[in-house]
Amino acid sequence: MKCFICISGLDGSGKTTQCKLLNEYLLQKNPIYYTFGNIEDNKHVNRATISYLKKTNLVLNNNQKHLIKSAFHMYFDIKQLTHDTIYHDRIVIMDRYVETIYAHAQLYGLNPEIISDIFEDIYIRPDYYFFLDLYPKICYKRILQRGKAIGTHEELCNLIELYEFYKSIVKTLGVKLIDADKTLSEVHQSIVSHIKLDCTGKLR
Amino acid sequence: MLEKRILQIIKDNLEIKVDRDLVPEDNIEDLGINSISYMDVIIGLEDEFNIEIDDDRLFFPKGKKLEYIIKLIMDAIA
Repeated sequence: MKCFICISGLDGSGKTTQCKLLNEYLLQKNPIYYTFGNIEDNKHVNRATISYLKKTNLVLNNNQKHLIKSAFHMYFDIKQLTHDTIYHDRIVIMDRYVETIYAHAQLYGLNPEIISDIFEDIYIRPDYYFFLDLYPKICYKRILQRGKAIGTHEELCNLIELYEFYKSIVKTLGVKLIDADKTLSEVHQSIVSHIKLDCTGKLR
Repeated sequence: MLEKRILQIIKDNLEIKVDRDLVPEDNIEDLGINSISYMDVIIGLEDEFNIEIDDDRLFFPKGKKLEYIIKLIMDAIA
């Protein structure tokens, strides 16, 4: 990959919007926009999850199993990014990355070592790793405004817990905090001000 | 007999309590099986029969009946 950019943050912090804005901004560089949305029913993910659960014989609740499945979903996506030639020499913009899985592991009481075990040997360090820093109460308000059903992880108490966890790991992961309590344009400008690309698209 | 065994293992791996014998005509989702709990069912069946279901057939059988799982296992055993 020419450049690997990840945007992270709580639900409602504006990740997807900022990823799309960044995608438009870098459009001439032909970026690839990648998002971890709903887990598709994927045979590789299903087999890997089943094999892992069998091998480890872990007693887990449904949220924890779902998270392991999500981790494998991300695992195969990362594997594709590193092996598929269509990603070579391209800028990749990622909506969420491994921090999401770790944060939810904390929320659902899953040992983070399990997640590390899954991502072992495959983790790619992003060239630019941003966290949209927005207070959980504001995120929650935005989530409510969407008018959709609220997931467990989107409840205010859980957003607060996730926020605290994200803030505690940003240093370890080398994540740059972006003040997201601003207009879309200001947040976008703040992100692009950190990204240095020369005329050929290569990192300086 | 095999069908009965398969149905019993499925029942043993359900998250909800069902106070009757399962039948092939039962809808999978009516038994509370979702894409996550389906993995428990598959693990239980693979372990019991010492088989590995073809990865191409591991998708969650949304909208299907238990007869689908029975065939899946019988094909894997054959």
